Formats: sequence, C-alpha cells, structure tokens
Amino acid sequence: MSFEASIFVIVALIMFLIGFIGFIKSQSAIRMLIAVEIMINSANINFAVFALYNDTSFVTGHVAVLISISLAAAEAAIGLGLILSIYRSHGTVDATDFVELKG
Amino acid sequence: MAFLIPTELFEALNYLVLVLLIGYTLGSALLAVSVKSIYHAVLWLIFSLLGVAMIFLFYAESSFLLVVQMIVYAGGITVLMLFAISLSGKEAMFEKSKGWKLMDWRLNLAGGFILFTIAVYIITQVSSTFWQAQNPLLRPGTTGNATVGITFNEAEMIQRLASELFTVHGGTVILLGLLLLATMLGSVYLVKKEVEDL
Repeated sequence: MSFEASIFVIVALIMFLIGFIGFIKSQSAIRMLIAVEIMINSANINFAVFALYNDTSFVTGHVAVLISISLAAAEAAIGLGLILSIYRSHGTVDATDFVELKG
Repeated sequence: MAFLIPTELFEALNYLVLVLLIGYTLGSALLAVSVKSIYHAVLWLIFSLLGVAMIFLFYAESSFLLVVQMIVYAGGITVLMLFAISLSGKEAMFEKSKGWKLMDWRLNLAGGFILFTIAVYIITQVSSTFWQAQNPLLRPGTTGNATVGITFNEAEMIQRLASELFTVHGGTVILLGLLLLATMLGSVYLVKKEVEDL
C-alpha cells in the first residue's frame, strides 16, 4: 500500500494541532504531558514517511524515529518525576496553581 | 498475480482502510486531550499511539518501528503515566474545568464498533505480514513502494538499520544511552524522599 506523502503531512499537521491546542487548553500537568507526546508522534510520522523518499539510505529516517522515541521516553520519565515531586510539595498537579516562579 | 477482487475495488478498499486508520488515530488523539478523566485520556492516548504504529507498518513499511512504538510508547510510557496518576491522589484524576462534551452513549456504541472493526483488521493484517515473513515460499521477494520507486525487503532493511545504528550512528546511540542513564538518576533524585522524612 502506498499513498502520496502529502496525506501523511496533513495527518501529522492535524495531529500536531490537536496536541498543541490540548497543551494550551489543559490545566492538568499530566494532560500537558499527554499533549506533548501527541505532538512528538506527529513529528515521528513525518520522519518515517519521508524516509521512503531517501534513495541512498532510507533507514536514516527510522534511526531518527528511534532517537525521537528515546528522547520522548526520557522526557516522560523526568516530567512525571517533576509532577510527583510538585504534588508532594503543593498537593496538586494543576499547572495553574504553580505560581512560585511568577514575577 | 491474480486477485480475487477487481483492482479498482482493491484500491477503493485501500483508501477506506487509510481513512479509517487516520480517523482512528486523530479521533483518539482528540479524545485524549478532551475527555475529563485523566485516566481515560491516557487510555485514548494508547489507542492513538497504536494508530501511529499502524501507520509505521503500512505506510512507512517498517515493522521494526511498529514493535518499538508498541513496546516503548504504548507499553512503557503510558503505564508510567498511569502510575503517576495513581500516585498523585484523587484530585489528579479529573481536571477542574469541565471537559468538552463529546461522549454520548450512541457515540460510545458507534466508536466501540469502529474500534473493534479496526482492531480485527489490524490484527489479521499484522499476523499475515509476520506469517508471510516467516514463510519464504509465500513471500513475493520484495515489498515495493510504487510511489517512490524503491524496492527492498524487510530482512535487508533490518540488516541495514542494525549496521547503520552501530557504525554511522554509533555516537548517537552511546549519547542516548548516557542520556537515559542521566534521566534515570535524575528522576530517582526528583522523587526520592528526604532522609528525615523516612
């Protein structure tokens, strides 16, 4: 099955927008993390599909996806660690309540 | 190669599968950022990640990425999130503001039916792909991509990926290992209690 890559670019764009709007609209820090994962996945779709267009070394795109997935795993681990730590000190995971650094 | 159904119908079915898969992925992503319960949001995120994994398999021609996506993302990160929600108390499970009202029982029923149909299709496709890969007699030899004109087979691709990961991208792999080590130490440091708390 092969289709034009433009279809997947549009899919990735819509997915990125869903993640971006979700990130802006949400108040819970955990849901913000979920929205970030969705945005990273939209970028991964582009990497994987465009890799087919690279004649010389089509696995480079797949390596990029692997690196991206590893970075996302690291980001999720640190993010959830931060959320737990903040919950312990503030008693909430609501991002609007974290105002300590506000000027 | 003789087909049981006409080519036009086969292409139309291909487009139908593409549309269903895209709808499944984007719909799950939309629900992940819109439902009120954070638990349900993580469950919808799993569906969305599985949809992306299917895109990797069918349209990026890479079963390796499918496996990595399912193990690391759908398996690992989401379980981590569920643990974080469980440890953050009752308040963390629901957002303060009311979520978008998307879920009705009729929508639930229709969504459940569509999810079930897609899941059955995906399972049969994935199993037949792996079955073909294990049976050389059934294998057409190459899985071609007509749009871009590249012809390769899965085994060769995995071989090239493995050799490139440890030659061209060797430094990156080592850096990633160091990064994940730092992440593990950092997250342990973040969540550990102070000695006087124990």
